[in-house]
Amino acid sequence: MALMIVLAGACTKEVLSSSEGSVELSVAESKLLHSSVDGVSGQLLVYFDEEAVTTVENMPQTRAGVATRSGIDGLDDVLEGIGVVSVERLFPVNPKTEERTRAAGLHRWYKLKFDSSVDLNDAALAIAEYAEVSRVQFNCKVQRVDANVSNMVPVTVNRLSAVKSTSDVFNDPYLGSQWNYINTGDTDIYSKIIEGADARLEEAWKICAGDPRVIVAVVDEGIQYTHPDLAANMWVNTGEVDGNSEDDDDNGYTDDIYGYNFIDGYGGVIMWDEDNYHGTHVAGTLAAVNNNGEGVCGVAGGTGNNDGIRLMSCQIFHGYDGGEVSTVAAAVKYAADNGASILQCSFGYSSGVYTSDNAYELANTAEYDALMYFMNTSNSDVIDGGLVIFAAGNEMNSMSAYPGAVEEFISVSAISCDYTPAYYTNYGYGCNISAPGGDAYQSLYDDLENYSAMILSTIPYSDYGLVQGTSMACPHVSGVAALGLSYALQLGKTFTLEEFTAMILGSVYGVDEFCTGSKYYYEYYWTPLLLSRYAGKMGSGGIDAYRMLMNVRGTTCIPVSNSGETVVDLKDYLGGATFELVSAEVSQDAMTSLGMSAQPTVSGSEMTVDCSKTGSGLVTLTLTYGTSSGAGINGLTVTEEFALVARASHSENGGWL
Amino acid sequence: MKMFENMKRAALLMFAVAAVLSCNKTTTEDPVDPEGWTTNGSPVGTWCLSSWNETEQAEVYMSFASDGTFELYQRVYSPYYEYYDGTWTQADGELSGTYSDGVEWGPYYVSYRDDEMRLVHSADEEDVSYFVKGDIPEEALLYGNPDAKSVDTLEAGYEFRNFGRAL
Repeated sequence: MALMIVLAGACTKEVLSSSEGSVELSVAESKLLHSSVDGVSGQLLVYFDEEAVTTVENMPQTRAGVATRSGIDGLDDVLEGIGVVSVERLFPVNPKTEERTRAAGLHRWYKLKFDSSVDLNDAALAIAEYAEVSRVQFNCKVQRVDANVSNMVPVTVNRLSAVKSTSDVFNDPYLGSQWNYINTGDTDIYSKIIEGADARLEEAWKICAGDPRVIVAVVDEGIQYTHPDLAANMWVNTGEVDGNSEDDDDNGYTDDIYGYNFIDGYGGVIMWDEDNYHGTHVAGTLAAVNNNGEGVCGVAGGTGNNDGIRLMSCQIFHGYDGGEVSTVAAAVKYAADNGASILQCSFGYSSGVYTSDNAYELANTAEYDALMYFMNTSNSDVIDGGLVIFAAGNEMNSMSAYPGAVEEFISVSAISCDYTPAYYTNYGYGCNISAPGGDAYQSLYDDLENYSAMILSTIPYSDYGLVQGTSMACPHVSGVAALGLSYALQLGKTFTLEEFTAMILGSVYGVDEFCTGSKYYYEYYWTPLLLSRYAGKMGSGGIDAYRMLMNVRGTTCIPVSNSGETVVDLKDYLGGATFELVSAEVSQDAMTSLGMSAQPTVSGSEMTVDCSKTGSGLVTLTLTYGTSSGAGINGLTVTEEFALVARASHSENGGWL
Repeated sequence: MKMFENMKRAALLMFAVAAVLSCNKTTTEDPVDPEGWTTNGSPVGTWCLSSWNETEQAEVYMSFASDGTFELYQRVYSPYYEYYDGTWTQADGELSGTYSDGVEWGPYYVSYRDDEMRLVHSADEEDVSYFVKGDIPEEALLYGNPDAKSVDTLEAGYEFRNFGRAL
């Protein structure tokens, strides 16, 4: 069918500055976000200006319940010309959250569907010509973080026999195989395994193993919510009646009981199968039901008393379907509007596609807007915002993939069962923290049939499987964050988003000392991988759940002299973490309490304070976790408080008396 | 009536004896203190640090036993609970002792008021710790004492095998 696109007016020009120099663009061109190269045919995302959106909102709908015109003179001719079949809000109306949706400007995003034979660039330019249109975004695809790793090995463990756990914490039969939680140094897993290279959960679980008031949205493939090791920890939308094809709770989505499938054409039905195990595996690491005498454990899976955190399935992938910006953005906003405090995201664009926050934001504004909306939404009494946690990516690149590399988000790299970086992990710029992600080539180097150095978790059809990747590392951090929120709820503590983020990144053990020598991975032949390239580039260090709970419990004190200078190496108080110490500041009241005449000075990882009185006061450290490229990818800078305790009588063994 | 008074005297005498016995290694001085603090008391029991100067961050729990030993759990200079033990003595209004690693502590001027104990370091009168009677939290008991961390030794298990696609 021949379609005529009506182009309006003459093109005005503006100059767009970029690192490559100045480029003269038409006004319409300057409104285009991303490239049409990988954009979905027949779809565009349009951001209307504040006044015009009122007109668009008032357009009559067809019998199918969708509008096909904007109500804007001239633009409707363009829409007719490209064969528009629907003009719908990208984020459906939810009366309970509409006010904040509008405040964030998300009501101005619309998704246009039209004839897929129309050239996307032509359509986008024609629409962007109108002053009422602020931006036009191509609906491009993100990918699961494992999608571009040829060596990813999903394993169905249908012959799994239990390794007797040496821990008496929980009775789950496969816990002994989950070295990522409790690493006892079992050389059947890998001959050079090192005890303790785990997420330090044995100690943490005795204090807190979750809380059902904490909801984590798994933005991924669908979770097998019927899995016997997951079902009890699934979030259930009690306002919705299952299967009646109505939006009972009026949140804009029909029959969303355990979450929703946001992929076009699936009708919201959450799906999984043997090839779509990713979401179920991630969910199991987060919160497989603990102490139920079945299968595996999850980081925040409770104690077997229905006290695990809750998993919300926000499906954005199934097979080759899904992953478009519109799908991701809608899923993220749904998570924010329906109670999630943590966004678990093991997906992203390939590392290197974007090399600055600015480039990512400009190209993916609808997605970025939704992610910031999540960050700015508080769904817990504990924290005044939402935590966004991404996998760093599996391309062995020295920078995090986006969106994880965005400064405000936490990007997770992967380590192995001997503390070394996993062979596939991205590291360096924008990577903020590490966690166990497994490394198949370690156990395979010992025995070509042994995959147990990967991560064991739930997979579809009520089974269990071994998978590796930063996708698997990421839910360890999300799970520990959920444990922290759970413990804070139980203690009645509250934190700002920044404070809580700082606690997560500071709750680590150092891994730099293991970044020496080499290890092997297989690429046509056993290839040595020099580990020195990773030193100082694995974020702050390996996630430590027990330290996280203790940091939630209270501030750590630093002993200083009450009569002169004290040089403090802050690595000693941050678990050997890797960080850049930006500054240290003491309030005027605290300076008076401590008899300080000048602010502390910092150098490297050291802080020097000069106190002249017995007393105490808080020092606020500004720290950056993760390295910066100097060209737009930054580490995550946070502030963290410690209490200075100035005494004459500090015991040499550290005892209080 | 007289019998009642005799019983009362007997009870007071028993109370006095009990008080003296319970105040093992304590002084009997009771200097006047406008805030009600007295040196006449015993550290025996379990104490929680309620304040030290203005800090609210330090968690310190101490349990003094009548046999002259003590245990100390603290979360102060580390995010983790730490455990110490040793011996104590109280004499002439001073409390002091030795950690089990040989490091000496104190002496502190010690005084009591109801369920409170105040320790003022003898070398620094600004170094004042206030304790209240209380319990040691489970978290501290779990991980403060290294003996509590022991895990069962590895039992011979089943071999863990799995299927997987060749790389």
